[in-house]
Amino acid sequence: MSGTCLASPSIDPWLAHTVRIASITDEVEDVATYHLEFSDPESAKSYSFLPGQFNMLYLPGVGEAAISISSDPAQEGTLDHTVRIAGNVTGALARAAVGDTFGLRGPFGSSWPIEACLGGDVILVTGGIGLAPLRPAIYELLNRKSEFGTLSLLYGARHPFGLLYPSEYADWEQRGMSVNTTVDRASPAWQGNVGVVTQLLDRMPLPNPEETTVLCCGPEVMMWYTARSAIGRGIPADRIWVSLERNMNCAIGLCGHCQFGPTFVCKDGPVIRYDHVSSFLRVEGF
Amino acid sequence: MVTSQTLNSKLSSLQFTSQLPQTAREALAGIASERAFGKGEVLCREGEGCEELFLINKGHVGLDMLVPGRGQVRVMTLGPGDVLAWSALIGNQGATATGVALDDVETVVFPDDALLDLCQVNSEVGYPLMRELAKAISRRLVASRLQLLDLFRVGANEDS
Repeated sequence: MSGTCLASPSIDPWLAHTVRIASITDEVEDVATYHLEFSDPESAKSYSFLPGQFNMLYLPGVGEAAISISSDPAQEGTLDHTVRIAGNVTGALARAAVGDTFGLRGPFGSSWPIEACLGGDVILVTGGIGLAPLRPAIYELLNRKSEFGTLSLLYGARHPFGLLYPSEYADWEQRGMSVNTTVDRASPAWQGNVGVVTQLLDRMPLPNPEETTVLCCGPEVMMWYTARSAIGRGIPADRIWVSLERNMNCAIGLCGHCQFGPTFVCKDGPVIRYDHVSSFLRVEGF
Repeated sequence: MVTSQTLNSKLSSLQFTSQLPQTAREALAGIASERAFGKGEVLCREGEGCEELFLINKGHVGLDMLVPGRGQVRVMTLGPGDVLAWSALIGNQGATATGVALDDVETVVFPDDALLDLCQVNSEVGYPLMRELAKAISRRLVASRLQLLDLFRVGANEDS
């Protein structure tokens, strides 16, 4: 199984398309989804992405930030990015309004290995805002449901109000994906699961672990323990994929800001096979 | 009437006991029974003695701790394959949390006295059982540590 799922970026990776904020959906505290549309219809027509890829959003006078795409690759019209306020660019984005325009470069990076999942069971394990980069994979898997075995989403958040996209869970379940959520800290009204997401994986029945693929996105500690749990349950390390986050600047592997051991996260990642990076995940300073 | 054979078959399918040698499962099935709980029923109560070890076969159990001023706070949810009320088995005097059935719960129950006696006289049961219990407690400990790390707090994974 190949270690990366690379996709070609647009012809000129430095070319920024102008995009306009068509609408904004407030998700949870400090997190919103920006539904963007291309100003140039030709750009809209030629643009396509694979689940797991990211764009560089460029706000003139502020800077540029790498943001994962969170919409359905098959969706026409708008391109969604779910963004948490974490720095200057995302802070400025949070102050933007519908109708504002800015630049977008991309798509960049590797994608979730959807083709490698064919015929087997797929478990998506994620936490917090990590669901955003996995949402395109969820749509893709559900759009092609008959090509896979069972589909399961295990999703953890700090508290019940931190769960992203809750209004979509019923639709995902109805279309064939089991959705299991858990929170670290329960509110009195919360009737769901309490505990970390790895516990959901620990107790999940795995009838065919050797044919099961895990797609994981979240804090690195969470991903490391998820992989440990999955391997302990018999899932091969080469069927576990993680999405890494680093300081991505150029997005094409030139500047070196996102280097992670021998890997450039912007070019070789963000989606990387676990066994290719596992030895670096617990190294202090990486 | 649940036969020892039926219980043995259930123990084979539960993660906690599935790795035990067949002879150990047979011996355990000989002292076990099944018990069901309806939603809201209490399996064990914080601070009180509990003389049975539960192995959850179906359903979910909330673990609650009483915090003055906050009432019962749910700290964890257990599900199929998890063990509950192991405190007495390792010599603790009372349960450290209250276990409440969150839906229809089915359990396999082991009386602590009989279980300890079995472990004492038969090391082919006692050693692998205590090893599985240690693994279960280790998983619970790692989960608690991950909760303590508060990984989803904004800024928790950033340098500054």
